[in-house]
Amino acid sequence: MLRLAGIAGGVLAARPAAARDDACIEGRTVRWLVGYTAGGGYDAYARLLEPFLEKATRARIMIQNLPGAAGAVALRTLAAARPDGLTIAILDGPGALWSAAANEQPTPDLARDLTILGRVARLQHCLVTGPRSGAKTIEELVGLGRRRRLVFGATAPSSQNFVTCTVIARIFGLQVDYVVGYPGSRELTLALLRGDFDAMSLSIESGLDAIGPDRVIPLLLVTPERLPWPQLQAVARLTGDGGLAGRRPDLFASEPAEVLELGAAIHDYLAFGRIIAGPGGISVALRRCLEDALRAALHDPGLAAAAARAQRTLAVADAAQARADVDRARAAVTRILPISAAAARRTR
Amino acid sequence: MPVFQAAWDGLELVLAWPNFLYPLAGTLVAMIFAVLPGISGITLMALAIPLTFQWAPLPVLLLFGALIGGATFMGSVTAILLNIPGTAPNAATLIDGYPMARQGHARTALAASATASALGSTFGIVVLIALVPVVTTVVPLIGPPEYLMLTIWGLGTIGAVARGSMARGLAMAGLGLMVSFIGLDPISASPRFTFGSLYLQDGLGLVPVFLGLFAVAEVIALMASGRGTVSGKTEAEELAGSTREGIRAVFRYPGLLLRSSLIGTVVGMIPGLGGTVAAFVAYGDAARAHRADGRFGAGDIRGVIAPEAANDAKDGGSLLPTLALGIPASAGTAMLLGVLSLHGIRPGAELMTGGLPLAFALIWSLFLSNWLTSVLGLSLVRPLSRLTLVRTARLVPAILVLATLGAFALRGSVADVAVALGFGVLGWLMKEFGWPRIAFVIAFVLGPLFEQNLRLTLSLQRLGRIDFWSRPSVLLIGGLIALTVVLPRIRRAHA
Repeated sequence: MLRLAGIAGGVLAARPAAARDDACIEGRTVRWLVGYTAGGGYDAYARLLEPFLEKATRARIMIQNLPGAAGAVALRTLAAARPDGLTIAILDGPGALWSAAANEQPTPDLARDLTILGRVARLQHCLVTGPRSGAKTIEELVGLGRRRRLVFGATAPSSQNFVTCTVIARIFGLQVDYVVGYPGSRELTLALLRGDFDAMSLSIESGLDAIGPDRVIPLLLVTPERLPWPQLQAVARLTGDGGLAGRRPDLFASEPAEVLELGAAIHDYLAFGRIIAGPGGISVALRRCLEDALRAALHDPGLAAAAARAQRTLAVADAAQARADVDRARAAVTRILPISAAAARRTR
Repeated sequence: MPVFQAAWDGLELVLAWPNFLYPLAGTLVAMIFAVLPGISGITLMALAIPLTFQWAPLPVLLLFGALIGGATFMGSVTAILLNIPGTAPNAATLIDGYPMARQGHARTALAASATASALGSTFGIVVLIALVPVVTTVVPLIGPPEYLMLTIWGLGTIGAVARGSMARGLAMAGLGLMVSFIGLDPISASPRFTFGSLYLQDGLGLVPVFLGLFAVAEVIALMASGRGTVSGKTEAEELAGSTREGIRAVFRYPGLLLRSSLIGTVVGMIPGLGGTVAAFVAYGDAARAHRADGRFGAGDIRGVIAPEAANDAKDGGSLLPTLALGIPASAGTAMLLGVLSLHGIRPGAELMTGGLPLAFALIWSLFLSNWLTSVLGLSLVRPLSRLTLVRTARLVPAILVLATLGAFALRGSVADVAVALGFGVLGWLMKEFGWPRIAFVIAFVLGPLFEQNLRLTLSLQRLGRIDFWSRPSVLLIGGLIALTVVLPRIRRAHA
């Protein structure tokens, strides 16, 4: 009994100092969860940010890939972690919101069950076609769609590439069949090059390599902002200054107001982006400390240079901004869910 | 720039001082860590990314090429000696490699594995260099219908590996398919056989299942048998076989080596398939081709040569779409692509024209590390083979610890350890009562690919995007299936 008490005493004495809530995480080891396999977009961002976050926190950051159930394993692990600042995660914000709204599985609520600490990047999608479709611009694809049913490709009906395609099909009034079931974006891109389908929505950062003459041809950017990459300068944008919504209303089947509304919704949904969060219940002092450290890391000039070299865009937001974006993204999901769900039912 | 000039320039880059130290260091690190089950080249690459963040691109390419190549062969060492697959593809090697070790022929098996690895990787790299000029034409020709036919070809080998009872082989294959369907439906995302468990949503991992079916099952078998050592011998002099015999065995079957290397290269080029599929398809093909005179599953050297050649050849194949199209064909090349991107190197047309010497530096680094691992492996055959002389009472706890660590290291999940232990009991029962584990494993590996490509092919056919029956490559693979699977059966039935 005495021995057991001694062990218990030792364990209690060895508890991390950060668990006392009155200290930050300097000198500690932080577990950084990534809900996808090593080598993917989320993993790349985590590894890009890791040295700068280590510098800002003066803690050791250990990246742990916890793939499974489209990021849900990491999300649940994070929600169940102790609120001691020693477990954080980079999350697919839109995916988590979609999963919760579609009731695909019990999903932690981003606002209630987690502590959002900031955002590192937005998701930016582009409608693209391949060399075999016969279209080189969005106008040509819409023209093609007026003559025959189009076929779009996607990974799964709940994926961002499927959701984006369904909204685009709706506003242009395109009759579209979907081929879904490609295991990942690289297989999807290869299928486009083969001519398995006419078009798909591609996450710009993971697909930039594949863009080129006689390869993946970008048609329409689903973002109002101008993007820095030269290969996307001439590509039409859906909304924003000089966007198609204002310039070419004749291309759309939807009323201009609906085009703007759905364009904003798909943008808000994707722009919620790659967020960094901790478990819920983190004390105010610890939360502020983590937010400050993350802010310092995200604004480190070295990070900007490294991201530029890796052709990864940063769209950093502090915790307050990222938390404010939750409601906007949630409203966007509510708006576009019925459109995508109807297309998904037809596809199945 | 002509391809051969670029290849020469790339070689000069690798051999220049101090550049060649990077492949050397990468190979040694990969060799040391890859002996641990669950630690693959991908794990090492992930760990190396922060360390190489500030490096220039060339050393990074050289190091990562070596990490890919160095880990591939070493996984077969534990597979042959201890029945523990170092990585998932090595599960195909242990089917015959471990029985050879039990019979005291560990040296022959290890040497054959090292030689087949080096020659297989050379074949893959030669094909890679030959196809560089035409890659953008070749890779897009292979789509879901061709993948589907390849998986059918692989599943068609189950009859050959069932050894004795076709009914039991088919029953095990059916069970393997059912187990492979655990998880989310790939299209509707509805759960199948998950019983509400989040862990099961992603299906069962290859590594824990393989560790259980082979390593843990062997632990139980060793304990139950009362066998003193793995080889049944206690002195090194009693061990049969030699390094020379293993090397010679590979050259005795040049057709097998070429065919397995070709399978590995082609499978390597196809995104989503990977080394495990390459190794098992090559193993099944070898078992079928040499059915008449083979002892597959009971210690046939050809059962070691085929999967090892295929597994190493796939590395060259998988670099092809990665470098030329920016589309990685395996988890290792996906990681490599991420690293290239972090260092501002964009694969695709730019790399394949002006940056071709840099691409070749990576290829040569992979080549050197494959050969270096095999040469070092050959020199270590004698001391390594002594592991089969270690007393069972000491070996069993070590195998259990390695298997448990291997299952846990993959995702840091205790549930993976439980799966390995559960499949250990199942594997032992299969072994004890003569139900072929290999039929289960082939179906388990190929099941998801079969389902996914069947559904994609049906969708594309229904929407008029393909005409399945008029694709030359489908007809070609169909012809190969007829020649190698169906025709021999008809002949036997007729006889």
